[in-house]
This record gives sequence, C-alpha cells and structure tokens, in this order.
Amino acid sequence: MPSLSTIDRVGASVLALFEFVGALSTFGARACVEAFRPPYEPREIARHLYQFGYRSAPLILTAGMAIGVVLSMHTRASLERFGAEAMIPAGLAIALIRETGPLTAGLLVSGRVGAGIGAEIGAMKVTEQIDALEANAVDAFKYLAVTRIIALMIAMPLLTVLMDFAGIFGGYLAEAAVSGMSWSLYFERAFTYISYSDLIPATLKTIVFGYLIAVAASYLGFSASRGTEGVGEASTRSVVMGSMLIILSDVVLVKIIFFFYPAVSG
Amino acid sequence: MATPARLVGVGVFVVCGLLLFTVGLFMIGDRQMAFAKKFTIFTEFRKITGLQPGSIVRVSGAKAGAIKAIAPPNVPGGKFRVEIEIAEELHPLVRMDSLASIETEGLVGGGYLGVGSGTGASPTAAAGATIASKEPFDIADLMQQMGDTIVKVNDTIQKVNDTIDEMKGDVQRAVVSGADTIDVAHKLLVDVGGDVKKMTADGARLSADAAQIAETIRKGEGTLGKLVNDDELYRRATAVATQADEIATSARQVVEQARKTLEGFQSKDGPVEGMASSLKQTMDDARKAMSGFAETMEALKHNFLLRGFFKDRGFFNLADISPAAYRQGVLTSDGARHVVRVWLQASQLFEPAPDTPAAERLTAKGKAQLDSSIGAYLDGLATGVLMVEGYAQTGTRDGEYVRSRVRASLVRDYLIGKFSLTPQMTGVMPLGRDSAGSPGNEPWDGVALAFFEAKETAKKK
Amino acid sequence: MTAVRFDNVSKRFGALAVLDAVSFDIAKGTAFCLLGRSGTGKSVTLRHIVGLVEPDSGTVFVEERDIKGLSRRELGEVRTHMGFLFQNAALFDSMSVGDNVAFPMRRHTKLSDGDIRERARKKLADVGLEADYDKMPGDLSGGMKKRAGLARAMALDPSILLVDEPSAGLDPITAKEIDDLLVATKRGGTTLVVVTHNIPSARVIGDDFAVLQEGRLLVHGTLEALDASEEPLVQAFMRSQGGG
Repeated sequence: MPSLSTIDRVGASVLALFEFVGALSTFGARACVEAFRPPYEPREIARHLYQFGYRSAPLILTAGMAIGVVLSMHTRASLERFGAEAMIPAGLAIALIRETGPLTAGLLVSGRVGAGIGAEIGAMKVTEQIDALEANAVDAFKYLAVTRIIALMIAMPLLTVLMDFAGIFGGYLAEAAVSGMSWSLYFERAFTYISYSDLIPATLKTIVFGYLIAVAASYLGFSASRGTEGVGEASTRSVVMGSMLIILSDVVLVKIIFFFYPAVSG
Repeated sequence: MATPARLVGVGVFVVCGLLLFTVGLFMIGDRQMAFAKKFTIFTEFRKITGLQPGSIVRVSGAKAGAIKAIAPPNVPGGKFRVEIEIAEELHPLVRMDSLASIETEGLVGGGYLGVGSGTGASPTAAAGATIASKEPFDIADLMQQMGDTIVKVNDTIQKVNDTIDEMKGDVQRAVVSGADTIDVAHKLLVDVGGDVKKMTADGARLSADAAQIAETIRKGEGTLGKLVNDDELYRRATAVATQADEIATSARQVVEQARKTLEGFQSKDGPVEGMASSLKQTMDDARKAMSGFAETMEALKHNFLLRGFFKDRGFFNLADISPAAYRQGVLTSDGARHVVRVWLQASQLFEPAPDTPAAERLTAKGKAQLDSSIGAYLDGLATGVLMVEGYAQTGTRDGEYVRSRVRASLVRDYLIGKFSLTPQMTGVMPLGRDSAGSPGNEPWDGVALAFFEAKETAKKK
Repeated sequence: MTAVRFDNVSKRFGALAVLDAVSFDIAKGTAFCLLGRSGTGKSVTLRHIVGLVEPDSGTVFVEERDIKGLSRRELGEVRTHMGFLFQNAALFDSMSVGDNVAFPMRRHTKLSDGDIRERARKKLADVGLEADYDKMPGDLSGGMKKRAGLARAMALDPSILLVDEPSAGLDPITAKEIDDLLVATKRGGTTLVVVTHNIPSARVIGDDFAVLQEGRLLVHGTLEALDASEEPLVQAFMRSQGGG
C-alpha cells in the first residue's frame, strides 16, 4: 500500500499539472484578446518576424533539402518495387506538403525560435526588464508576448512553404542524380496529385503550431525565476513544451482537416 | 528597433514565402485547369471508386479539368451525380455520346475521370448536359462478369454445335431424299462437307476451352494478384460473348440457308447451281465467324489472368524449362497430367553420320521404332505434351550434355516432320547421364519419349 | 500636497509578511530615503508606488490617486509621471543605449524621431554618456548602465523619480556622481524616493528618512530624528559609512 505521502505527492503533481494547463490556457486566451487591442506594435512584430522568419530561413531551407533527398531515396526504394518510379515526385510532394513539411518545420522552429523566446523573455524577466517596461507604462504582455505570438503565427506558414519547396527541390536533386530527370518535369509531376485541400489546410495548420510554440515559450519566459538558471530552464522547457504541443495538436488538427476536407483522407 | 536592413529581410522573407505558396496554388490550379475557361457537364455512376471533388478529368487522355462536386444518391442503388468542369478548348471533343469512365493512372496511381471523345455525328455536349458513363471496373465484378460470360459462351457453343449437328443431318437428309439431283448434291457435299467438318471440330475445341476457362475461374486460379487494374480481360470477355452471339446468329442463318437450299434441291426446279453457290457463300460466312471466335479464344488464352491455366495445358514455352525444374516434375506437379515414358536405346536409333563420324544420325530402323512407339499416344498428344529426353553415358560431362541434346533434337525434328506435331507442344530435354527411372534403373544411353497426357484424356480412353 | 502616500499598506508573499501596515507620506519636491537591511521590503515598497505590486490591504496614493482603483490606461498615465531606476538598471538588451533612453519618449510623446534622438542625446549627456548613444547595454560597465538607466528614468522629466539602490555595486567616485545627479534632479522639482543602505549617500540626498525592518517602519523622520533614535538597528545604520 502506498504511503500517504506518495498519494500526497501524486495529488500535488496532478494539481500542479492542472494549474500549469490552466495558467497556460489563460495566457494563450489573453494573447488572443490582447492581439485585437491597440497599440498593435507593428515595429516589434516586424523585428520578431525578421528574427523568426528571415533568420530561420537558412535552417529551414537546409533541413528541407536534406529531408527531400532522404525522402526521395526512401520513396524510390519503395516505389521501385512496383515499377512506379514516375510516382516518386508525386509521392514525395504529397508526403512533404501534407505532413512532413509542416511538422518538421514546426519542430525546427520550436527548437530555434521557441528556445529563443523562452530565453529572451526569461532573461528580461529575471533582469527586471519586464518590470522596467511596465514602469514605463508599456504593457509588457502585449509588447513581449503578443508581438512574438503574432510574428510566429505569420512566419510559421511561410517557413513551412519554404520547407515544402526546399524538400521538393532536394528530392529533385536526388532524382536528377539517379535518373537525370529535368526540373520542369519533376516539378510538374510533383504536383500531379496535390490538390488545394492538401496544400492549404496543411500549410494553414502551422499557424496553430506558431501560436502554440510562441504561447508556451512566452509563458515559460514570463514565469522564469531564480536568475540565469531559470532562464536556461525556461529555454529548455520551451522547446520540450513547444514540440509536444505541436505533435499533440497535429493529431487533432489532422482529424479536423479530415473532417472538413473528407477528400484528403481518401 | 527595426532597422531598414531588417525590414528588407522581413520583406524578402514574406514575399518569398507568399510567392512560393502562390506558385503551389497555381500548380494545383493548373492541374485542375482552375484558370482556364470552362463549361460544366454531368455524369452519373453507381460507384465512384477513387473519385473525389478535385480529381482531375481527362478528355481523350488530355488534361481537361476537375471534378467540381459529387452528389450522393438519395436512394440505395441510386447513382452518384458527378459535376465535371472541362476546359472550353476541349469542348468540341465532348459529344453527347462521349462516355465517362473512372480510370487510374498507372499501377498505383490516383483515380481520374476519363471522358472519351465522342463521334462527330453526335452533337456537342451542351453545358449542363449529362453524358453516359461506364461503371468502374471492379475485380469482383470482373469475376462475376467472367462467370456470366463463360456460361453464355458455353451456351452459345452448345447452340452452335447443335446447329451444326442439325445442319449435318439436314444435308444428309437432303442427299438421301434428293436422289435425282445426286450429282449436284454430291458436288455440294464435297464443297460444304469440309467446312462442316472443320466447324464441328472447331466448335468442339472451343467448347472444351471454354469449359476449362470456366473451371479455372471457379477454382480461382490464375495470377489474380497481379491484376490491379486492367479491364482488358473484361473487354475481351465481353467481346467473346458478343462474338459467340454472332456465331450463333450466323449459324442459324447457315441452317436457314441450308434448309432453303436443300428444299430447292427437293423441289427439283430450283436454280440448283445458284443455290449451291449461295450455300457455299453462307458456309464461308459461318466459317469466318467461327475463325473470329477462335481468335478471340486465342486472345483470351494469352490474357495474363488465365495464363496460369493455359500454361498448365501446355501453353508454356517448353524451351524455358530447365533440366533441374524438369527433373523436379514441373510438368506433372499440378496433378493435371501423368507421364508415360518409352525408352529407346541409342544403338537401335542412331548410326555415325557417313561424312562426320563423330556426329550421329537416325537409322531407318530407329525411325521405324519411333513410328511404332508414338502410334499409341498420337491421340493424347492433341492436348498433351511430348518431351524427348536425351541421355548419353560416354565422354565428359559437358560432352554428355551436348550429345544428349543432339540426340533428343534429332528425334524431335523427325517426329515433328513425320507426324505434324505442334512444335510448341514438343520439347527436348537433355538429361546427360542421369537416367533415373530407366528400365532396370540402368544407366541409359539413348532417348526416352515422355508423353505428358492430360489425366482426363487418359481416363476417357 | 503629497506626492506619495502609503496608508496602512500590507503585503504578503506566501507566508512572508513583506509589508505590515506601513503608512507614510512623501511631500512633493522632497527626497525620501528608505533604509533597511536587504530583504526587508524596500524594493517592494517602490514597486507598490509604480503599481507593479498591488497591496493586499491598505491604499497607495500617488499624486492623490489610489493606484489600485485605476484602469490600465489611467495607471499608464500615472506611470508616465514617474521614473524608475532599477537596481541593475534593467536596460533593454535588445536596444542600443540611445534607444533605451528614447524608448519612453517614443512610447509616450508625439515628438518626431529626430527630436527624440536629440533629447535622448541630451539626457545621456546629463549622465556623461553622450558618446555611448549607439552602444549596446551589454558593452557598458555597471556604473555606465546605472547612469544610462537614470537617463532613461529621467527621459520624460518625471515628477516622481524612484531609485532602487543607486550606488550599490559602484565605485565611490561613480556613486558620488550618481548622488550628485539625484540631488540636481531634486533641485529641478522632482520628488525622489530612494531605496538605499548607503547612509553617507542618503545623508547627501535625503530630506526625509525611514527605516524598514521586518515589514514595519521602525523610524520615520528627518536626519536628526534618526540620529537621535535609540533603536539599535537605526543607530547601527547611522554609524555605518560605506555602501553595499
């Protein structure tokens, strides 16, 4: 029989979990509301967009191309058995556009940007910069969190598209090395079976990824404490939390997409 | 604060992302012909296997547009109404008699809607019109269809046989009753008799084939797994049924004509010569129909679905069988055949060739021995396989192999030449020194004629 | 007329009573020095004034207005009348020193960017950092940061300046310079609220003094009253020389 203290501990951690979920949800909901209230801080959003989007592009493009090459090799291996090499571009593009692109981009951004947001806001918190903002009559929540959340919601789908195309290009490189296929034919074939219902929902769902990454990271940054150690922890937890939220939400989002676009599941 | 350089970065990023997204949209739009001028028509299917809104539409194979919507039927067994958008430039090809069908691209490709080009005689399909459709092909349906077709083919062949029998009777009766025009009748019989005989034989062969096809399908044989999407067989089977019908019709006409002609004989005052030529004409027609039917049957034999079956009957390439596979009993493994061997000694069959002593040739005595050996099996060879096994016991291993092959070939060539055996059904098998099963299990030097007879044929004897 | 008034303010963080029924007034244009050992609630008192922390009970009045009852916008407006120099300056890492100083003006004035830059330069010149406009905060020493922080706190010419440990961690010369700056600011009519434990510094700046211990005001009065106090802690304080 477990001792009373064990039950206590379990109970406490369950309560702590609920408290965390509650606080995070409140934080996220507040961001939604605040986003529609002036001031809109366009300069800050632009600054973050530069950081999250432009500066992430090299990572996304490189990773996308590498994934394209790898996927192409795998698709080739499996499709060759059926003599369906002509399907490689289409198979690759479907895999990339529907899921691999959005999810991988999400995870990479969670690693790069999520960690950055957690660390940056966390550092501002422990060095009283957030208090300084407030003391300067600036709504720190809006100024720091909402602008980042919006910027990442804008950057995420754009990065995903970059990833998709980089992946298709990487796939083309792998294919061209083997079969010498031309780019225009490859590109044409890649889109053979892609429909709007593949591209649009899969790309737009990454807006949700962006929102979740930024909300989790901002929240953890705002709750950072205990000096530099707290900053590091906020950063690490931002990545973990962001990645987890992306994967979990993806399950739900894919289901929702199937619900609204039954054609995609067929 | 955002510096101008940063703003440029943001601008580049946003523009690139949006641009690529737009490229994606346009690629899809292009595929679906979203940006071309279009018109809308409808078609209806009971099953819409693999189709979905957005699926592409091809007119005579050309990319033409996309499916806009699919409205399900509101009663069971009703038809799905499919709304199709087709590029205006292909409009002239889409006629009221164009046929819509569900196709797939390649072996594992996605489904698309094919719209056949109509005929020039038919008016262009107006926007909003509904064109006819061909229900999607389905393996279960195919089997059903095949089964039905076989039944039909059997029936028809039976009818043809009956008709031919009837006709034969009529001709004979005519000969008997029209004794005064015996010369004419005789001439007619000579002319027609060959045809009648051939048609009877053909009919018998075809009905045997059809029965065996039906049997194969019933047993579920054939390489069905490979059949992912090929409705060729369906088409063929349909063609068989159609042709069978035609034959039945022709045959009926033949009988009708024959009767009339023979009545003409009996009435004594008919234009006998004309009648005879007309009967000849009719017979020719019937024969043509029959040969068309036989061709269809032949095509069916080569359809891969039934290849396994026909292979069992000897429609394999005997030259492809390796000695190893042969020894393992590849020809008898399915249990449909049994083998009888006649062992012949080299000393009886061969003599050194006069000009090149190293080579062998058949002796006159050897030929006689072959003739007498094969006599008992000639009937069975119509449906069976003859394998000439060569054996040799002297020399090196490769020398034995070559010699055994030469011996078997000599015998085969002789038999094919002498008895008009079907070359495809007559093979050689060089077995070297390995002569398991020889009389007394002794090392055999010579040949063995291995008759692979269909068991049913054997039973009938 | 009081600039800041605490009326029975209590604040707890968990089990710890940081402020326990604290009351005091700060007259306009005077310098109020809040003394006490580390962790006695001095910084929390400052944060109450600017509304970063809300009292559990009692009321904080700034310029006669109850901070707690203000809407976010009204609070923002009150805050623009106040400058806050944080203990570690709390300069925004992501901006240059100049932008840090310009930040409050950019947020709360309708001045042109050129004017703002000019004023920011002037504010930096006031603290001796005119050459460091384009430097990033990470490149500054502790003392320079503090001076830049002071420039930012002074950017909107506040009527109340809140200063948390102005000379903590600084060399005596720099500390002296900061003190002089604060005195000059007071002369300009600004109310000062200074949290410190550097008595020499407080002697220079302060008009009014209070000593906080365990959430309670031990003494409140002029320099003379403190010197006369018999509380051992106050005596210990008044005798101490250095900062820190």
